[in-house]
Amino acid sequence: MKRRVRFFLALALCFASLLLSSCGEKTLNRYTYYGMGTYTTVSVEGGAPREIASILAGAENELSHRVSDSVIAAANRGETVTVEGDLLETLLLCETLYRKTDGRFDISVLPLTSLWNFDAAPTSPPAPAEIESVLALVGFDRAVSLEGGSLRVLRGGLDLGAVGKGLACDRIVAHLEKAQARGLVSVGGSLGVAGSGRTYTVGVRDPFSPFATDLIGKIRIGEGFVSTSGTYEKKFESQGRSYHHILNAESGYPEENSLVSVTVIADSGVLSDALSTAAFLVGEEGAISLCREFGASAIAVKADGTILVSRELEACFAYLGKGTVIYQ
Amino acid sequence: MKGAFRIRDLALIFLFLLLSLVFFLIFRQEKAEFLVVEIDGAVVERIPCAALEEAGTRVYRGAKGTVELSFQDGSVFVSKSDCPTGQCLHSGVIASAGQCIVCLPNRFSVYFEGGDVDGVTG
Repeated sequence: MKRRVRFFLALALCFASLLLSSCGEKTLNRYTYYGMGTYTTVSVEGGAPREIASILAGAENELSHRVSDSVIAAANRGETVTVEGDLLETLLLCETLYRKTDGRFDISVLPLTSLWNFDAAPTSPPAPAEIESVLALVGFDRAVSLEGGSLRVLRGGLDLGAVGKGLACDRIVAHLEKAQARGLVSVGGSLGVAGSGRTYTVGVRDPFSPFATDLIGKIRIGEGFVSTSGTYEKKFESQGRSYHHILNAESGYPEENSLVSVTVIADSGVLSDALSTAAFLVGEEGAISLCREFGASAIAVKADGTILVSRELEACFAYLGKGTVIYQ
Repeated sequence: MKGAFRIRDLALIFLFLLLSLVFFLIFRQEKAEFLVVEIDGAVVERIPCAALEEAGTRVYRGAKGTVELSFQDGSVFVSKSDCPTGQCLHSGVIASAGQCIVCLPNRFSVYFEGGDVDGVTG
């Protein structure tokens, strides 16, 4: 009799585990929004979250230099503006990264980005003399006064393109968590996890493919934020030479080093967004270590197909390509 | 061994756990059933994947003009677009669950439901 009890107990246990394993996680429902000149998706368990569109609009109206009454546009006109909260933290992070990268990462780069104007799909680079002349207006040290919460642009102008999507992602994730929602947010390819207790698979775009749908690897994350900077975005060719949109604010030209893309996993969207650009600009020698200084990890893809990966990601990164993977 | 699990019991548990794992893996392999077309964040069409096997085109009116999708053998790509950048024309062919093409100026997106990738960075 006891044998039979044991048998049925074992059977019940097994069916319970079978049932649990088959149930899996709740389905994520995907909602799409447009704003900040990009495409945002919010994938959450349950119904459509509220106020996402207004968060995106609010971020654009605050951060975009193109919106005439934004904080940044006012600062660019020479007005002294008060900044606080996450915007102040973002500006301070940018100042730190400006110093860490010896001026290559610089948000006072508006004169240069306006000259190159990658958004208008240019077909030729600016003349060297033009680049030389606008470089006199670029340089956080010379162009920006940031004391306490008081911001003033002394010359040139600010372009928060390197951090805007990350900041918007932070705000949407914070909003979802306040509403106790769980899911994954993507603001133009800057991703953030809202809530806990669920893991997500994030695809990393293949920088060697012209198609945005091709992946070079996958990362499993249960928290944090992911951003990527790559040479495949907004590029053009002129006289046999390729020009991409990641500008070195020191040289005035697109950064030419051995990297083609850098993906960063960090604790905040602003940090992952800013670091993906900054790490790209410092090149393969310093990319991983710069991220590590900020508690972040990275996947840096070289033009020869070699992938440099933070050793912290060894357990959660699956490489889909054929190049050599070096964990550092 | 009275009162304790026998090797035969343990073997049975192991067998069922193995079966559970197999079921889990099978159920996890989500196959896309629908292609979803969105304009300005609103779903305008959900096309059963079975309908994408035969070659054909569909035209949608986006925010800046029209976008033409072409289908063949379950694959989808943007074949014509009035958008100023033309990036969607170079977004490649999508055929698997989770893959997506976006035309920003037209506020147009098309994707296969499901898939093992929850989001793409890049």
